[in-house]
Formats: sequence, C-alpha cells, structure tokens
Amino acid sequence: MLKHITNFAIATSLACFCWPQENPMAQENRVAIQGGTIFTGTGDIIEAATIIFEDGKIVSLGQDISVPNGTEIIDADGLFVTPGYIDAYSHIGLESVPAPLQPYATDTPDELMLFDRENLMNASRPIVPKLVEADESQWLRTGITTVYVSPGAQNLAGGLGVIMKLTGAIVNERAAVSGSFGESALNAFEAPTTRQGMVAILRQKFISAQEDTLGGEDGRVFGQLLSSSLPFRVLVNTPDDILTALRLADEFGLNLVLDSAAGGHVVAEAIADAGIPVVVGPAIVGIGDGGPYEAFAHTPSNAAKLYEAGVRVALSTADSGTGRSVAMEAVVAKAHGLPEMAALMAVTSEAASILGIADRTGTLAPGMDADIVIWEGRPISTWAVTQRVIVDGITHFER
Amino acid sequence: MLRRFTHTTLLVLCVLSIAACTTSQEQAASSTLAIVNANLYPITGEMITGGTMLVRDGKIAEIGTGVLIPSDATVIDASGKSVIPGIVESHSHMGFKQLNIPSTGRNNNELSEPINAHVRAIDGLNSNDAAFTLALASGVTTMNITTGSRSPNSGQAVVIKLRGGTIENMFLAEGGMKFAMRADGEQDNFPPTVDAVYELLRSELRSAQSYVEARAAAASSGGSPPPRNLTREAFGKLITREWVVGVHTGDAQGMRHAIALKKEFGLDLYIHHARNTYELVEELLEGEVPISFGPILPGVGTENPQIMGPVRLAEGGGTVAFHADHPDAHQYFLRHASTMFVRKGMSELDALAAMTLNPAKLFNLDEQIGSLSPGKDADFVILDGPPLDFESLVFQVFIDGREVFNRTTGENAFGQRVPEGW
Repeated sequence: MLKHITNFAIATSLACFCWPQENPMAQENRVAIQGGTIFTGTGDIIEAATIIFEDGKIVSLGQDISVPNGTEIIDADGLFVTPGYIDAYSHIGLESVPAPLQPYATDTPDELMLFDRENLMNASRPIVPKLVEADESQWLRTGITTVYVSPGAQNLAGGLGVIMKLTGAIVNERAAVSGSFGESALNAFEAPTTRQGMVAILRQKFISAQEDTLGGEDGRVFGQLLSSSLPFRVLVNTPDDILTALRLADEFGLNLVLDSAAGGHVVAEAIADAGIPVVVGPAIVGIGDGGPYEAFAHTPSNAAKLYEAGVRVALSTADSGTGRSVAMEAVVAKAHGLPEMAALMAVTSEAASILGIADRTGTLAPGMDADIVIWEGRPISTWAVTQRVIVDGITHFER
Repeated sequence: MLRRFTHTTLLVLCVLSIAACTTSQEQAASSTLAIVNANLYPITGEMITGGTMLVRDGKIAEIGTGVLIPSDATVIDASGKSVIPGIVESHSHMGFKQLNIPSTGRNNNELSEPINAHVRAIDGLNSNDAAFTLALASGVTTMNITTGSRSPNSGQAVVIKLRGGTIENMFLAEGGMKFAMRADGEQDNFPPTVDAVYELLRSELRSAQSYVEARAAAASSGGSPPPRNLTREAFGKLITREWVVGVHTGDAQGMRHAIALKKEFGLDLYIHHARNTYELVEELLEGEVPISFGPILPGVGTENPQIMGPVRLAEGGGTVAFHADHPDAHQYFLRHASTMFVRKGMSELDALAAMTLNPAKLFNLDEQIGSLSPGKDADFVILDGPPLDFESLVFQVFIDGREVFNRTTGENAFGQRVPEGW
C-alpha cells in the first residue's frame, strides 16, 4: 500500500507538477461506504448511512440510498465517516525553505519581500518531490487529506502559498500571499529592528502598488492583494500585531486571513467586528533556541474564545516535518470549550471555506471530491483512529 | 480488613487525642487530608475505583478502598475525578529559557569551554520564570532542570519541586550531570565530531578516576591530597555513582557511545531524547540503560515510527520516561503525548509510569516521589476525567500535601496569574 502511494506520488511529480485532468488511478467503478455514522462537516450527523462515490466525486449519501449492482462495498458498521481533514496552515513538504531563506536575510529591507525570487515565489514548486521524501503518508494516516502550505514565517510577505491534497494534487497553486509580522520575522533580519519598522515597509509597498510604481512580479502580486483577488495571510502572535494587521486590511481593503493568532482571544471582538477569519495556530507548540517565544502565548482555549465571539475559525499545525495531526489540535480545542461540531468544522468545512475551496472539499455532499476518512471511535476524541483514508475516491491508507 | 480497621481506628484515636491536648481543632484538621470517591492511579499497582487517599503531614498515609476517614480530616470529594502522582518532568530548561525575559535564555548554555562540569544549574536559574505557573497548571510537580546541550558537558542539573518561592525552597535533589553526544560546529575550541566528543568524555572520566583514587589514597594514608578541582570532583561523583548522568543523544551512534560509557565506567546513566530507540531496544535492555524520551509533541507525530521504540523498550522491561524539554515542547502535552504510545500498544500503566515513577527512578527518587503509596511525598494531581484523555483537565495539584494549583480559583504557589485560557 505504501509503495503504491509512493509510486503514485512520484508519477505525479514526474508529470511536471501538472495534475492530469483525468486521474489515471481513478477507479471507474462505484464505491459505497455502508452502515457508518456520517458527520457531513456541515453540522449534520446521519446514522446508519450510505455514501456512494464514483470517479473521485461523491454521488449520493443518506439513509435510504439504493446501491446499484456492481458497486464495491466498504462496510463501515460501527465506524464513523467524516470529510478528509484540512490542515489550514502548514509547511508540509517545504521544510527546507526556511534554510534557503537565510542567505537572502540581509539588511536590505527589500529582502523581506521575496516575490522576485522565482524559485521561492510559489510554494508549489519545490513541494511535490519533497512530499515524497517527507513520506506524506504520516500525515495522511492521521486523517488529513488537504493542506495549505505556507512559505516560511520569516518574511513580511514570504511568497505564495499553495493548497494541495496529500497525494500531491494541486488544488490552488496561487492560494494566498503568506507573511508574518511577528517575532520570527523580526529575528530573521538585521533591519528593520522594530515591528513598526517592518510594517512601514509593507505600507510603502502597498502605497507604491496603488500608484502603480512597483512593476514586475511585486507589482502584479501587490496589485492582486489590493484588488482582493489574492488573500493576504499574515502570521501574528500578539494581540497588538493582530490589530496592526486589521488596520492594514482596513486601510488597503485587503482580503485578510490571520494565521496562528496567539492572544487572539484578547482582541476577539475586534476580529469579529472586522469579519476576518482566523486559522488558529497549534496549541501543541514548542520552540527551540532563540524563540519565537510569542508562540508560547498560544492557549488551548484560543479557538473556543474566538468562536464564541463570532469569529470564523479553522485549525492548523504549522507542521513541517514531524507528522503531527490537526485532528489532535481539534480535540485539544474541544477540551477547552470549542463545541464538538465547531471543532470538526474547523478542520473540514470552515477550513475549506476560509481557504476558498469549499466547492471542492471539506463537506460530504453530492458533487464534492470524495475525500473521506473512516474512523474507529467518535471523531474529535482522544481515541479516534483512522481506519481508511480516501482522497479523490482512491483509498490511500488502510489500517 | 479487620487489621486495617483496627490500625486506622488507633491512628484516629491518637490523632484525636493529640488534637485535643496539644493543638487547635483547625490545625489538626489541616494536617489530615482525605481524597474520597476518587479513581486512584497509584502506578505501583492497578487503578483503584472509588478509593480514598489519606494525606498526613505532607505524606501519603493510606490509600485504598475501605479506608476509614478520620473525623477531623479535610475531605475532598473527587467523585468522577482521577488522581495520579504529580508529573515528574525529567528534562526541562525552565528558569533558563525564560518566558518573561527571553533574552536571559543565554544562561542555558555555558560555551566558554567544552567541559563545564563545575557549572551548577542552581546558580543560574530564575525561580520567577512565568512558565513555572504553566507547568503547575499542567500537573507537573517535580522537574529536573538541566543545562543545555551545546557543549559535550554543560554542567550540573538540579531537581526541584514546584513549591514556589526561591530555588532553595524548591530544591529537592542534585540532578547529576549532563553530557551531549553532539558536535557544535560553531565553537572553534569544541570537538569537531561526535566521536571526538565521546573520546573527550572518556578522557575526563579517566582523569576523574585517578583524582578520586588519589584523594582516597591521601585520606587513608594521611598524605596531602591533590588540590580540589571542581571539574574532577564533579566527574568523580559520576565514577562513584553518587550522581547520575543524563546523556543527550538521539541517533544510534550517539546512543551506542552512551551505552559504552556506562559499561566502561560503571556509570549510573540514562539517555535523554533517545529518538532512535526503536533501532536499539535489545542493546538498551542488555545494557540496562533507561531512556528519557522526548520532546514528543510537537516533535514526534502520531504516526512516526520512533514511537515504537519506547513501546518495545517498556514491553521488554526497560525503563522509559517521557519528557517535554521546555521550551522545545510544552509540558502540558506530556499527558496527551502518552496516549499516542497507548494507541501503539503500550499499557496505560506503563504510559502513566513514564510521566511519574520512571522519571523519579532516573534520579533515584522513586522511594520518595512518583507513585501514590504510603510513606511517599503527597505530590498528586486531581483531574476531572481519566488521565490519558485529551479532554480531561488538571483540576488541582498538591505538593507535600499542600494545594499548589487550583483551576477554579487560579491560585497557585507562584502567586502569578495563570495566563487566561489555560
């Protein structure tokens, strides 16, 4: 099975990162998962239900579904069925990026923007081959099927993030510009030496883009940020950095998403009023020598408090190479007050909605990608263990 | 049963008479604590459902079902709750890498020389690190605070109880020494390879052997001893097994070096991190080398093959402790991490022991802490559900029978505000 996954991923990478229109591995026959308790990701729970998918797409689901002859049956009696989980902020497959960034870390303010670095501009480029090396199955096995991959967090605007399935299939290769206002960016460069110094550089960029004097790739990308056609995702881990991001979004009309957002609960009302979604960073956090210590401001109840305030919340791991699971983050968030269904949606439908891919994945409904996880044990609980993980209709892991 | 009843009755009578004669009723009440209706996890035995634990004068007096509760005892009803021994964190840098004053994190690594045996953790710690409060809120009661791993020998560790106050007030025991099988390329005067680190440590240990022998010979013959040398003295305590040594290493080569050091010098030695245990289970069992495995979350994912190392070592009867290595990981998630090992086949008892009794064993403190048994220090944690469940929260923490953390009130021994959201 593992070999199958690897060959498949290699085949994908050999295809010059172009996802073929017709998935060669897609099974032509219909598959029905029968008897399980389905959590649709929209808040509904359907017991003793059937879900049928064909050619990588969900065809039908419900309690009274007739299964046509010739359909492959997967028995899920006593098991639970959810949409494939989404890790809404990770560095999966990109673990080498922070290191290559270092040579560019000079005291030139412009180095804080990396749009002119062709090989780093789009996170999707080095990902697919890296994903094979990193053994993507360790994430897949935890029930994750889709990830947002952000460039490293050491730049004010560090490049374009990509959304991909853990098979290597690209969902959106220009998903957002990811940047950071926090300690990690501040620590990476000799100048500017202050938060306000960094933000001033960014503000000047936006103003230059407004006046159309930037040119080149910078001009194109900042133009798309100004027109809101490209989301601006910024990693912020103090209440004040969060408010700074909200000010910038208001000033320039940005389509802002807050990432990580430690301390977000302190300014939850302001975030809710601004209507800005938050991809809450990992509560399960650790830092090495030299910080960023801001990460320790993460509290396990952050997601619950933001949710209570009316903020749209997704969860994430910020993982690069350790294989930890956003499913675990969801259980921690639930333990600290996030309602069970909100916790599930934070790793499925709400995550998909914030990432702008809700038409493809994140819920179980006819027409959606057949990204499905079968669990032993109720989802969003300590002992829930994946039994089968299906991506685009194909079983990629079976325990 | 009858014997226990009689024994308890006598004790109660004694306490009552002492109380009547010598102390006020209030003081007597505060000296006996009864945790009742609790699911007790003694670690030295199977879980006791709906049991009682009596605490007197800071020690566990009695534990079990059918324990008679003295009429003057302060009773805590722990219905639906569970009680585990206080978590013993075997590897932390708290007080060095500080949350409130990050810039002083430099205290973690003395880098002027590769050998720093004379350097004592206790002399550089900030006992007011805001992280201590979070540790208490996580159920940690005892912590081995080690110096960093950037030098082959970074100095002497210290084991503290999180009682609050000064380091003197928190001191429990000397934590022995720290070695690191690691070559730090940034330091010109440091050994350039792991093999060179190993040879340097062997050389220091041999010199310490001679030093110990020369001092002993001088003492018995009445001759003049070699002058005191703090480095030799510290290494000498490893030779005489007065101190334990924890060796920082993760890969198979470094772990084999550590096993060899223990064998060659007869050291009381365990391995920190021990990531590649899954490759060396037989060698660790044969060499009787315990491991302190970690940091686990977020360092090791649910499906990481490294998880199987501790599972197999515990199966084979080896000693496995888990650690968080603050700030590399947050000790709050040690309990959560333990569930990952249970999923992969470790018994719940072994997984709990890896956070309590086994780390206590590393420092030869298992007669004093790490389990709920009569005579041991009353260091324990009350959780509002099963201990190995993400959804259970730490409710109350006690050290030496005294409440040091209370989730409801937020009060804690460090007198600092528990950050909102914990």
